[in-house]
Amino acid sequence: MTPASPISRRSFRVTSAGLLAGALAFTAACSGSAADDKKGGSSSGTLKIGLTIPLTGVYAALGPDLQNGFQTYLDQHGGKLGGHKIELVITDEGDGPATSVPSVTKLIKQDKVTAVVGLTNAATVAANVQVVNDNKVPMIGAVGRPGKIDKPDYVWHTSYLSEEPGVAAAPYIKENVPGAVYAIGPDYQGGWDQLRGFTETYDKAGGKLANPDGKTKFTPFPGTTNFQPYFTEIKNSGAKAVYTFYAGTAAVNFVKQYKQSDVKDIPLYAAGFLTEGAVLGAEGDAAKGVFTSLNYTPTLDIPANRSFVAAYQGKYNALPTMMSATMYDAAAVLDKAIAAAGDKVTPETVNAAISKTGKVDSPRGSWEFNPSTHAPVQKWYLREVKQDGTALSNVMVRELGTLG
Amino acid sequence: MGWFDDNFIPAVDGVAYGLLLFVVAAGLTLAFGSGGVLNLAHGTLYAFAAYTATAVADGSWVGLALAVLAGIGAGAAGGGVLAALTAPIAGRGHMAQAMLTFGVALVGGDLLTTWFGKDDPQVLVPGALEKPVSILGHNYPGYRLAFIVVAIVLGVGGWYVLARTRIGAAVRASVDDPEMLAAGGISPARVRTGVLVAAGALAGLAGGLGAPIIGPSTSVANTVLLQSLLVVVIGGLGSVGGALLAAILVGEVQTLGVTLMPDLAPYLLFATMAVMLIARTARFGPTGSRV
Amino acid sequence: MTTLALRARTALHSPRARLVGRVLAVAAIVWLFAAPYLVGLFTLILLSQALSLGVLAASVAVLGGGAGLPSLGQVAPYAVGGYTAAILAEHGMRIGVVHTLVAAAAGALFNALTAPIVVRTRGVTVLMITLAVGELVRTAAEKWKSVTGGTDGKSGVPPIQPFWGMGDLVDDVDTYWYVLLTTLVVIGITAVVLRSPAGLLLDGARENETRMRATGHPVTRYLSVTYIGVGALAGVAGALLISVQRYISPAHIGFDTSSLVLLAVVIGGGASLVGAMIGAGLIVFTRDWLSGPWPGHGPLLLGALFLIAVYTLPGGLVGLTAGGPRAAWRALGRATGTPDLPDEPADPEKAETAEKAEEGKAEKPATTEQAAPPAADPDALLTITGLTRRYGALAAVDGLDLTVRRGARHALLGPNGAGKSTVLGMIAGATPVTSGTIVFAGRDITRLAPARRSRIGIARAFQQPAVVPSLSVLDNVALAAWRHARITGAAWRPVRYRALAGEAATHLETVGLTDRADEIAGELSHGSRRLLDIAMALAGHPTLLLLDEPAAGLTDTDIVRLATVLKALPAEVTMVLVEHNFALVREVTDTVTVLASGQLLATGTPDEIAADQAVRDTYLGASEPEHQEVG
Repeated sequence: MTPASPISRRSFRVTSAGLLAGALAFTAACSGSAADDKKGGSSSGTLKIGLTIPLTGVYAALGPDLQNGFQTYLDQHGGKLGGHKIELVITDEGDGPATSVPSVTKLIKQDKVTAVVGLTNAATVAANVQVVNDNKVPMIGAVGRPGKIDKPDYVWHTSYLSEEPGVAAAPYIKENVPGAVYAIGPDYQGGWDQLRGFTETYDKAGGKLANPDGKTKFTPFPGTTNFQPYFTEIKNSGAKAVYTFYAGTAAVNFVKQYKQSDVKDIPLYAAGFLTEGAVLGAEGDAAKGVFTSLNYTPTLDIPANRSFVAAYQGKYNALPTMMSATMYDAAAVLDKAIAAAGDKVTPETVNAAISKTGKVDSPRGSWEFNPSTHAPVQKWYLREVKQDGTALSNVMVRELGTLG
Repeated sequence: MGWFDDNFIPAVDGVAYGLLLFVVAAGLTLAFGSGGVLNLAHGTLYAFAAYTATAVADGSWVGLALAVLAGIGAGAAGGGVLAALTAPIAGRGHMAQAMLTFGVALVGGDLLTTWFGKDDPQVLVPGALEKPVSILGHNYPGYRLAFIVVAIVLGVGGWYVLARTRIGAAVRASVDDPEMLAAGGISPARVRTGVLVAAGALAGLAGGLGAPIIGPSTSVANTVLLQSLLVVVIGGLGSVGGALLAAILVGEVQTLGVTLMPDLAPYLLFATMAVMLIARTARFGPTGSRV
Repeated sequence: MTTLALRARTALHSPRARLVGRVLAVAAIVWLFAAPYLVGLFTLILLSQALSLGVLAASVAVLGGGAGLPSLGQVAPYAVGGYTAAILAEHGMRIGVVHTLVAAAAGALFNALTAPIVVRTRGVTVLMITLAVGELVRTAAEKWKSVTGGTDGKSGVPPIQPFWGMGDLVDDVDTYWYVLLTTLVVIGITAVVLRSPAGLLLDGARENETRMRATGHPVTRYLSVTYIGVGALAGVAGALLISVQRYISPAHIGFDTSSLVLLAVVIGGGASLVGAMIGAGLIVFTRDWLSGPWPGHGPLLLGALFLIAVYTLPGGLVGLTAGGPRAAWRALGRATGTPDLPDEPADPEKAETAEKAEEGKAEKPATTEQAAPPAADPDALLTITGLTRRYGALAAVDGLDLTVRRGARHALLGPNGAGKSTVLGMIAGATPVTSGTIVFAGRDITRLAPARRSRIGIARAFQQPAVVPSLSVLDNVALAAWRHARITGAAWRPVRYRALAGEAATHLETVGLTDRADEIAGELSHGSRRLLDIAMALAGHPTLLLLDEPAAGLTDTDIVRLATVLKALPAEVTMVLVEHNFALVREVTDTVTVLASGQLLATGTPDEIAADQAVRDTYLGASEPEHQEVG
């Protein structure tokens, strides 16, 4: 050990004092004081919109899909929504509430945004319901939706309710699979809701689960990286098909291991996330032949989608995903609502206007908000992973009906 | 036959998973036992190696070999960086090193997504290993089976080097008593650097070989760190044999455990660790170890 | 005497440390009160969250820096407190004060349940077992959906009302005031307890557990009480989290939070409450405030903060700005090249392991002379019969019979490995007895715990002087007198401490250390530490004083001082002395027993022994290199 020289000790002390002073300066530098903070309406032309999207953590790969979808709409509309120039403020959603609550709070309190958009993780939405309701700022979620929201006054979703992919897929699976289906999913709220949608509807349609105890198998989340043991159980159950929901890294592991296991020949059905966006690239050929249920597919052949896909591909050199489409729609909803709010654009007036949005002409077809759930009434599609030119794509198989 | 048949694949898979954890944990235990560094960036070294190996692998056999070598190189380089970073604070105690390596893990995570992107990359392995292999009438991923074989060969080879060669004797001596090497004229700083590079190389070897099993992702560093920490603690700090048993145990808990005791599975790992610690405290006193 | 006691109190927290610490704390509090008028709403909300996390960090600081149990599991009582407050609010009980109290009780109750498995562990094992506790609680919070809301957490918790008759707490500024005041109250209470004499007990338990036990302190009980107390503190932090964001989920209680909180404590500087709170503040602001312009790089900035802190703040914020006694000790360690204060608490096993190493080398017993079994002696204070201690196949002590008269000055002599220290350890209770009995003052104490033996009058001075390095000399002796002085009054009352310090001063006088009473024990010379160690042993008013090689490593001058002290011991104190320095033995003892290979070789007066041929032979045997290297 070297004896600390007086000089280095002093420099330590100076540095530490600097750290402290810095910390105080950071906070002091913050303009204005809490005592006279007023919630911002906007008199000037420019409005701020906050994006809270996963930039770190398990769902970090989804961040660019979300941001690019919103940006595509802005680019197509001259950077304006409802006639106002838009300034985007981006914050990190991280792995959930610990990061996202400060992020959303910052958007509302410091940046005084007109609306908060994004939010992948249902737990993030659940954590921020209080924040946006208290502050009367609309929050438009583009992906995950909590199982239950008591008062969705300021909470909207352009995606879906978590149980809907399963509800949409169940009748088709009952009709087309000759025998029992095994249900498996991740053990957290999103997984419970997704699988409940399937099992309840499947049950009503007269189907019977292949799971030995008649109940869905839930795998520890997010710890499960290894699905081999479950595949053995699926094989032993004699299931004729499997229904599941996984997203992100878990989806990659599930699909790749599925195709190397005892159950590789059993048809695999899932909520769209299993093969959506970046995970499809990581899964590669192992994903071929997987059927998924979702409210969007880039191969949907309608004019709104063709122009959206072309614009998106032109700029980002990748196919848009469902997350891109729902974010694109969130921008479209705000465009209408801000325009409708007229001279007095405040978060409150925009929220009131959102409830009167009416039909949204979307890449996924036309849809509108359900007035009680604040989530879309929309068409659902069955898709299959197929080779599409050089890349794999979720190719539309058929419509599954309208839900919402 | 029924019960055995039902649980055969999970049991085998527990071994594969356990052996992978063992290779990672061996590095962690080496860094702690011999280098004196409680390395919370160990999972990040695995992730770095797994990303690097994935970038190199092209689905050919040569690519696989190069990928593993690249993984080892990446891990060893990471270990070298850690050695340089921890050198000024050697002797400041475990807390300071834990804080430093935790900081390195956070910074490293950010750098990895900057270099390799946020998407999970596709891990390519030779086609022959991609196909499932049939054992006792069950399909099992060929790569995992090959990995079990390779890990056993590596394990036996490693044991031979440690137990029967002069280099091994020096390593064992440095684990038992790092000051002894110093007394023998070898600079302790050089020993520390060597040990951390070797520990990093082990993480890199695991990352290179394990990428097709526990693939590179933004969350892999945390998963691998926590599980190898469990292995090291359950196995007993500094004990290689204990770590091997613990690794297989942790592997089986996550494979057999989830099928046999699904409701308890989420609690099993940490409950096992707590029980082991309590038992060891009762036997060896408050620090739960022989020293 | 009283003035000395008062001076000792200032010595405990050295004057400069106190001044700087106070200035820092006062400045921080003033700034916190001014904050609503200085900073924006978002910053203020972050401050509320930082305060809540700071209370949690303070609980970890007390446990780690105070009691020596570094924890990764305080998130468990934090979660229990938070969920309790959320459930109370959902069921219509929305009074903040009630939340705080019930959450504190719930947190304390949870830690009371887990205390038995935590407080017996030390070092890295504490970290790991508390990590397991925290993770198990997080898993339970995820799975127990009907109570906790599962992975989505408990959202939509109704706003609280600080006190009966007050309105809902929805405004961010009001919430801040509520959180600030609650924090100041609970941190204030904690600080008062820690600064009271009761805080000494934790210092002692952390830095020298063996000595604490040897002077009669039930260390495990102290640690349990502390662990339960910090459970209450963490519970309050959980309730504050609910008042700030009216939401809690498993994401708040995982490994991420535990590790950040522990690092906040390290940045703050070990035991310091203010330091831990500032550390928590730095972490919250780095992650959530600084990352504003660089969204998604919160972890990077946090990592950078840790790297900067490691290199620039080796003693933590408080250690360096205040230069407190601990920092002084560390600085001393750096300057002298001696090791730092151990990050792990003193390990009671180490002494024993060292003995094992020494005694394990004992050769197979080779009896030269068998003493007759001792006759029942009415004068006997200590009667040892057939005492044996085995380490595996080796017998360090083998069927020893020994009687020590009341008031005797009895020396144990013998070559290295003869089993002297093991005998001493068995009499003190630090070394378990394999077989045989030890009767002290007519009572069989063979299986009694060390702390109990201390309280019935057996005191021990250690081979390595066992002092609490960060405390003043007087505080060390006061700690040793604690369990023996007939003084009433609660542990945290200053009046009790003054009485203790008064008594301690008399023992310092006995060993001639009065003029060094204010010095920090860790800075004393080896000789003075030896005398302090003896004063601490004397503070127990022992009837039997065990001294293990007191002259080892002393200078000639120090040996003269030591001899003077030993000769001046009160007549009612019986002394058993293990010593190699025969000149010293001759000067201060009246009876000498010689051991060889764990068995009795000879007993007699010092002069008789000096003339004994068998003893000379044994000592010649001891000069074989094999024995000498153990030294």
